[in-house]
Amino acid sequence: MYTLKDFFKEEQNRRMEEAAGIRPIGMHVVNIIEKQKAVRSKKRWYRWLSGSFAFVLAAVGIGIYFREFLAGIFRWADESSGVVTGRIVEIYENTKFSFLTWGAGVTQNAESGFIEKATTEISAWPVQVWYVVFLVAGVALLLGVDKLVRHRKPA
Amino acid sequence: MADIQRTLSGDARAYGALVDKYQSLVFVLVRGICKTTADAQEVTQDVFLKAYEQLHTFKGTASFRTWLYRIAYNTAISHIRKTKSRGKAGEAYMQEVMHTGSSIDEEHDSEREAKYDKIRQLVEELPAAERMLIELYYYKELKMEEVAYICGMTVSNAKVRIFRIRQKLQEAMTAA
Repeated sequence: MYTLKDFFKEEQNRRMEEAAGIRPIGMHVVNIIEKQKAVRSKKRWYRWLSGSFAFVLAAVGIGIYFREFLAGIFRWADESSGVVTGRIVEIYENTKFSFLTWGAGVTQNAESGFIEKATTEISAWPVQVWYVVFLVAGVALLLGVDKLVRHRKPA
Repeated sequence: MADIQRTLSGDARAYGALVDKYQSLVFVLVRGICKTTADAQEVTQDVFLKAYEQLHTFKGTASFRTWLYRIAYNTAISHIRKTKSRGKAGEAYMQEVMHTGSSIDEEHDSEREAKYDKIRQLVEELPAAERMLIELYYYKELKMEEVAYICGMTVSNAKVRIFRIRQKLQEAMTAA
């Protein structure tokens, strides 16, 4: 009785014989993979270059079209940075003075105490300085959380 | 496993060694659905190219052979769907098998030969997924769990489907 099992067994034996006559394709496959990698790398380069070129073109185009608006932004940035720089210099000078007096041992008996001076100083900081302080604190918090999550031990 | 690790760390030659080791197994599986030996070799090559692309996803939960069969199964099915002229493929395969296997066939009696032709015809008429499933079921050294994994179905589902395919084939054989 010729069964399905016999059929598939015969088929497989036949295919095995056929497979035995085939030359190894290992190196051929490796060569194809290498070629594909080279083509992919070249394509990536082309994409990166054309993307950069398009970005520069778009940036130049936008810059020309919105030149008045951009000039306004630059003026504002220049003025703001001047104000902030002035305040930072002032804060630096005040803080330096506070430390020097504190270091000389005149903190407790001074006309105005160090803590009071510092509080007055901090409360006078412009909003831009607070933005930077909160930004740095936020980034530090996120980095801390990220480190904790990454280094947590598996349960 | 050593060759896989070496391939993943960028040693292409190690992958070449893996291909040489497993090419016969893959070829035997995909040969049944391809028109010619050259066609089967092309599908085998595609299987190994796809396997290289997905090698980083191999976690070792199944054996590498079974994982490779799963890729071969999917590649073979999409090959069948692409080459819609399945009837012609069957005829071409029959002609080639008759030609290459004449020495074996001479030993068979005519009744056995007729049965063989009949089963081949019936298997050719099965839908692609069913055909691959029954091929895998009768494939050497594969357990039902492995067959289910390769076909992406549960063991019970694979059992039921194989039972139905066998029943269908046996009914067709007895009716002939």
